[in-house]
Amino acid sequence: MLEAGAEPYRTEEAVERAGRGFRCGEIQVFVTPPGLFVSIEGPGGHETGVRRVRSRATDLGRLSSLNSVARAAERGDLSPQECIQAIAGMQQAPPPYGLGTDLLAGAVASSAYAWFIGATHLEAGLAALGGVFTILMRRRPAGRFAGRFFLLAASGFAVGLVGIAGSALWHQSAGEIVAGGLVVLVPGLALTGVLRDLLAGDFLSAAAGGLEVLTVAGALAAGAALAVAAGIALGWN
Amino acid sequence: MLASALAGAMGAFAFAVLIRVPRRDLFLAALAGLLSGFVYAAAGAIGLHDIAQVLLAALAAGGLSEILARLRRAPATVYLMPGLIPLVPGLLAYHAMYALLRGDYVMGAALGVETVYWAAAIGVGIALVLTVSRAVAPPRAPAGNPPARREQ
Repeated sequence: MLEAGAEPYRTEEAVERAGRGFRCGEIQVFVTPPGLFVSIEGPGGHETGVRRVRSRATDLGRLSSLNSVARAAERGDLSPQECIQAIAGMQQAPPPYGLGTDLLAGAVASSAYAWFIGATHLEAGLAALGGVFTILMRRRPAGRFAGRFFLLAASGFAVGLVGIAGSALWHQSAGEIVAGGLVVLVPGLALTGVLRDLLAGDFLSAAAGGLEVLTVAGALAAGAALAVAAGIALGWN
Repeated sequence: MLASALAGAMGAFAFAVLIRVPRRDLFLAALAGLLSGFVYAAAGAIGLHDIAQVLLAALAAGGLSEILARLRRAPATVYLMPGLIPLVPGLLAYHAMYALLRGDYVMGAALGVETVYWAAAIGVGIALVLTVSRAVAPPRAPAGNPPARREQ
């Protein structure tokens, strides 16, 4: 669930639900964005496990299905074996949307956002170009976080260049183009996860999630700033 | 106002595809974007402050998402994330960054604080909806961290 972008509190709830459904005794679970601990204490003994979560992507369809599996397990509709099968089936399922759809969606999301913040049609078109590029970068497997940081910064840089080009060549304002091109990378789910963790009193998860949000935003800003700084150095303002 | 609502819906629909919202929920996600875009623009049209516009729009999108989540038995996030897309303070963040690059630190800091303030308004809106909805109509299973039953 964490790999699908689930908030820590939701993952915790799902583990507890499944634990209740399987009647496996007392279950303690502690979830943070980078990993979770589960401890089960039953009549047959005591077991504790740790799972690290290194790759994260937002897949709300999968998150939603996993959530339903946990609920079905709680009601006793699914045995542990059936749950494992259901989850394995999800992992083998083909991605719901192909590359073409993704690129189109990136272009539409970027230009629609640009229009919303008052961009001209040309600015929205350039933002769409930035959005397409951003999606291409986002689809690359990034591995550990350093790779993801680099891809985010590279996206920021590329979109920043598009913005400066639009400004220098066609007298458009770069801000709308850059903001539109990068909007698809906003760490929205992490941010709402932080809020829910704070409200639930899970300060450790909230702190980890908050740092993730700041780092992602920082990577985007750093990339874009590099492009704009290069533009300024070349005489653009 | 209509144009803002349409742009909000378009952006929400496309963003929903990117975060893998299932096909059957895409139009409902767009509806959340339509509502937040409309409320944002309408609040601006009656002369409210930027931050109040964002707060009201986040409240509207959050409320709709909680209702849709209960009707469709899906996590509210499925509708909330796309619905909030029009409210992202991207342009403010860009202007803050630009001011800092030009060496105008006072302006950069002011715009940076405004960006944070703006994001906080979204957060407060969601948090309000979340606490109220859990109090008024809790999801079927208990929330929080109830002690697990010991089965013998």
